[in-house]
Amino acid sequence: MLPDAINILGNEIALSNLITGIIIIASGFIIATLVNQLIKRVLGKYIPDNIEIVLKRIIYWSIITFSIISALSFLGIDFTGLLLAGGIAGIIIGFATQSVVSNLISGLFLHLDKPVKIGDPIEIVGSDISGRIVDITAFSTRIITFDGILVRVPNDKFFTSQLRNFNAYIARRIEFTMDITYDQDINIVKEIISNLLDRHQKILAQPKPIVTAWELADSSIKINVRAWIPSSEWFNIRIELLQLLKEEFDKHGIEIPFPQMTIWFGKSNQAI
Amino acid sequence: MINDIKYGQYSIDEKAVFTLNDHNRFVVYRNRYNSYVYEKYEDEELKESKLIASEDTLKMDILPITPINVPGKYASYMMLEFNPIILSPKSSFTCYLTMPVEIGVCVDNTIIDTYSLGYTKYVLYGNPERGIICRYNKSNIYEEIPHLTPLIDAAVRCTLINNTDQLKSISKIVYPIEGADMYYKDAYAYFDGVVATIETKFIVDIVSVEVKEVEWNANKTRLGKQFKSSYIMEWGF
Repeated sequence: MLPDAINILGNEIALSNLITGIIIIASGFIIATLVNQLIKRVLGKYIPDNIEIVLKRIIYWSIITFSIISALSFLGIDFTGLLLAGGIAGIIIGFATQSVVSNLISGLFLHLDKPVKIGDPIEIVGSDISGRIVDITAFSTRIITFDGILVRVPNDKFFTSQLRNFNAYIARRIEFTMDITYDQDINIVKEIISNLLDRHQKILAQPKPIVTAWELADSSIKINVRAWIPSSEWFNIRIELLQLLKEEFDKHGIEIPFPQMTIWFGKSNQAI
Repeated sequence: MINDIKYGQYSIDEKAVFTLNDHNRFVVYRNRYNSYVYEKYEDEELKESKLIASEDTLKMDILPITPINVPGKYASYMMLEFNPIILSPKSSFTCYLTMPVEIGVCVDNTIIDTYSLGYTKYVLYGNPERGIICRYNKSNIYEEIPHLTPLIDAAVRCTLINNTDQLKSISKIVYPIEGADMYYKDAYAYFDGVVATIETKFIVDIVSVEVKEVEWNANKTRLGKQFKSSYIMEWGF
C-alpha cells in the first residue's frame, strides 16, 4: 500500500502532488527540446551557427529553470531564501558580464539590421579602422584592414558606430576636378573628357556622366567630372581614370596650370 | 591559320591559329608532352596561356555566348534601347533588334575563355539601392532578321504588347541573359524571343518581360546553365 504523503527535507508532500511536480519538470524538458528544434528549423537559415547555439542554450535552460521552480512551488517548498541569494548573485553576475551581454545582443542586432555583410569594404567613421569584414561572431566583428592587419571590434562598439559601407549598393559615383588654363576652350575640353568617358567600358552610360565648368578659380578653370561605375570597380577606375585624363590632356595639348599670382603695386602702376 | 571564323566545332591535331580581328587572336597547339597549349594574344602580345590536358585530337567549340563576362561580371541583364515605338491600346508589334555577343572558346561544354569584339557599355537601370546593372546596346529596329556583323552581334526577336487602355510609348527593354543559351549558324548568332508586355499594376505602368524560345533554324549552344527567363521593368520604359 502506497503512503498518502512523503517527507522530503522536512516537508510533508502528498504523493499526487509529487507525481504532478515530476510531470511539470518532465514537461519542461520536453518543451525545451521542442523549442530548440523549432529554433533550429525556423531561425537556423537566417542566423549564424554561433548565435543559434547561444540562443538555444539560453532558451533551453530558461525553460528548464522555470519548470523546476514551478514544480517546487507546486510542492509547497519555500525557497524565498534561495531566490534572495539567487537575486543577489544575479545582480553580481549581471554587473560582471554586462559588456559580454551587450556584445551578444549587439551581435544579434547586427544580424537583424544587416548594415554590413562578410566581404564588404567598410570604414568606421571617426576611427582609423577601414577594411573588409571577415567575420561577425557572437561577441565581435573582425575586420582585415586594407594593409592586411586583423582588427577585432566588440559588437556593441561596432553597432553603435557610424559606418560607411562602400559596397552596399551596386553602383557608386566617382567625382574629381581637373584644372585648365583660362585660354582653353571649355567646350573642347568638355568634349574630350566626355569622349574618354564614353570610350571607357566600365563607366556607366546611364546615369549619364556629367562634365561641367565648375568654378572660375584664381589660376584656373575647374572642370568637374561625375560618372557612375560598378561599386566593385570604384577604386581601380578612380586611379585609372585620372591617369587616362592626364594622358588625353597631353595628347590634345591641354595645359594644367600651376597656381599663379599677379602682384600689383598701386603706386608704380606696374605689374610684376 | 583560320581567319574566316565561324561558330561551331573545330578538331585540332597539331596547331591552329584563330584570328578574330586585327587585335585579337588565339593559338592552340600540341606540345611535346602530348597535351595542348592555348595562348591568347592581344595586339601580338601574349596575354594568357593555358594547358589543356587531352591525349586525343582536341575538339574545341567556338560559340556565341551572352555578353556577361568581358571586361568583368557586372551584369546579368541586357538593356536594348531603340527609337520610341508608340503602341495603341490593346495592340502588339513584333520587330527584330540587335544585341552584342561574346565569343566563348569551349572544351567539353566548358568555357575556357571569352572574347568581346564590339563596343562594350553598361547602364544602371533603376536606382543604386534597388536597381540593376545591365549590359547596354542601342539598336535599330528591323522588320525582318537584320544583317548581322559576324562574331559581334546577334538578332533578337522582340514582341511588344500593350495590354493597357491607353497609348503607350516604349524605347527600351531589359531582359535576363545570364545562363541563357544562344543559337548560331555560320558566323551569325541569334537570341531567343523577348516578349515585353506593358501592364498597369495598381496605378503604375510596368513591363513584364519574358524570354521565350524561338525557332531560328540554327544550332543551339546548350551550355546547360540555369536561366531565369523573366524580369519586371518597374523603373520606366
